[in-house]
Amino acid sequence: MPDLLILVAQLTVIILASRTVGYLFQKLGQPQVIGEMLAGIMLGPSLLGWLAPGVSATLFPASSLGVLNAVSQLGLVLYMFLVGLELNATELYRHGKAAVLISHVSIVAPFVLASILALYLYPRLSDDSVSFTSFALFMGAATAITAFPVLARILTERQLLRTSMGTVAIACAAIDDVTGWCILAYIMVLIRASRASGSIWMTLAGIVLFVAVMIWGLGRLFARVERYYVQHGALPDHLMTIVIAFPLVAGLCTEALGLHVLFGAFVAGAVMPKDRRFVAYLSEKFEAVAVLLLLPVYFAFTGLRTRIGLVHRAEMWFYCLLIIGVAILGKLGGTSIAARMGGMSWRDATALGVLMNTRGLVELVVLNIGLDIQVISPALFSMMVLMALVTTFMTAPVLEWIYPARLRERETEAYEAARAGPSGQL
Amino acid sequence: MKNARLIAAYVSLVGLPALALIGVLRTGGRLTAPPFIGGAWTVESDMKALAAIPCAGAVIHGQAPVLAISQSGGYLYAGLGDPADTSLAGSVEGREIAIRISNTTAVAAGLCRADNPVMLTAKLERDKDTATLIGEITAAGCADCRPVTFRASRKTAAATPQVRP
Repeated sequence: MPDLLILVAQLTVIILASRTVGYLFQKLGQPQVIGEMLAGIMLGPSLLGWLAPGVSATLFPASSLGVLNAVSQLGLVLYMFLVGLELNATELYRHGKAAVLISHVSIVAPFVLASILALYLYPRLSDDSVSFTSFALFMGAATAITAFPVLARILTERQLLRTSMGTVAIACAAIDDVTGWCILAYIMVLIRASRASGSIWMTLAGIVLFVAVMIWGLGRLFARVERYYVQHGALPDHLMTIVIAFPLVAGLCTEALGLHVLFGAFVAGAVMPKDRRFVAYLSEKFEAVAVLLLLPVYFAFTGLRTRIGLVHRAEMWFYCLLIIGVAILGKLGGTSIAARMGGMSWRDATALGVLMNTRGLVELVVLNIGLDIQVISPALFSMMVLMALVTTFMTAPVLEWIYPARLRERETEAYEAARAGPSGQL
Repeated sequence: MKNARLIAAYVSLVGLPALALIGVLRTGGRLTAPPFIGGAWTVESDMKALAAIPCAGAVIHGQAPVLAISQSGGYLYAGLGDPADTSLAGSVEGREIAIRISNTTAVAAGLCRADNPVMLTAKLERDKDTATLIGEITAAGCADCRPVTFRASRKTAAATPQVRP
């Protein structure tokens, strides 16, 4: 089949599968994104390649994967820009010290537990081309991840945003997001510096300069774009072109600095002005292409790299269960205990732990980076993908169990009353 | 939350685990992982003798085969002939590797039997710049087949595409 025809056929199948499974999951009370992730796995060797190897080889020939990867990465760059765009720094300060404590524990607890688990897994699932430090730090970072976009979507869908627990969750997830990406950037610099001849200090200096230019240079420039939008209610084509090019150019810069193209796109979104209508306007423009068309391609590409069949022996399933157990214990347990110490009720603290345990798409992004730079092996990648699916899938039902609808309504009313104050005015 | 309580919570829940992480990294530095043998290897061997081995012959089609190895620690997934197909299971212990060649197409065509697999065993020899696999391919249960020795050098260290079962 000609290349273009293959790509069109792939996109058609991927979008249809993604929307169908996503819709079914929505009907089951799950966020649509979980269904889309699962659809990607189903199109890979774990299901389609296993049931119909001929169809799989025709639809996804090895020679076509380079193009598919490029398309999926483009989608991810735009998506990471959206993730950064939705990140609002004011959320980080609103809940003060308690949120910082909860957030930091929710990172440190799974990070340290995963590093301890790395002592057991390193001789079994890694090789001597990867240092233990790189392996353990990556395992820690990958386990400590929280999917800020999925969490925000769950909170919105469950009407938890207007509860005390929901606002703390958003603040913690925002801090987690920034901290998690910083840790991952640090690990990437370490790993790439150990393999390249360049100086690590030059890379770090370049990153500091990049961030400074983004915040104090381009951030202010885009504040003017925001003002134009506020005055006119829309952006003309030439300004929209600049906005679209911004994450791409930022991504090129971070890639050139030895990080990943995704970091630049995320920072580009994070430094954009945060006027609510402006953010909604840009999100709407980007989402149609990034979320509906290109993101499912990323899920499918991840699915093509995921071979559940590699986890084929009893001891490998044991490793997989250990990874899932440690991930849940560290994130859910760590967050709950910290939240309880921070003054929350056990119910709120556990609900917060369940929410922070959501890993979703962000975990897949991190794992793909790990596989690309060969710090994790293909079998470990598959196990970690299973962990991401389990921890994301369990969020909605467990949250519903801990926080049923009647309780949510009561909490929302209490929160609104507390915000209104004794005079009854907001 | 009072400051003193917050500081105590921060020290116990963040500070102490962070210190533990340093200990973990130091302990882990003494661990050894299996040698890296992933990538694509060019096999040099007596092709006529290799082609005479039932399953292996069906895979290589008389050409110098590429041994593609995808590695996950001590577990190997290899392909002989088709670099994208790493469906053969194997293992690595120390510097010894063993891969079981059970070509399903060849079994289906009656060219070899599933219960008499062909085994590829080799030893890794590695210095600073080069890596070589030296070993032999043997057919279990085939009295007429003599073991065929081979030598393989690594073409690329990059992992092969993980796309086909």
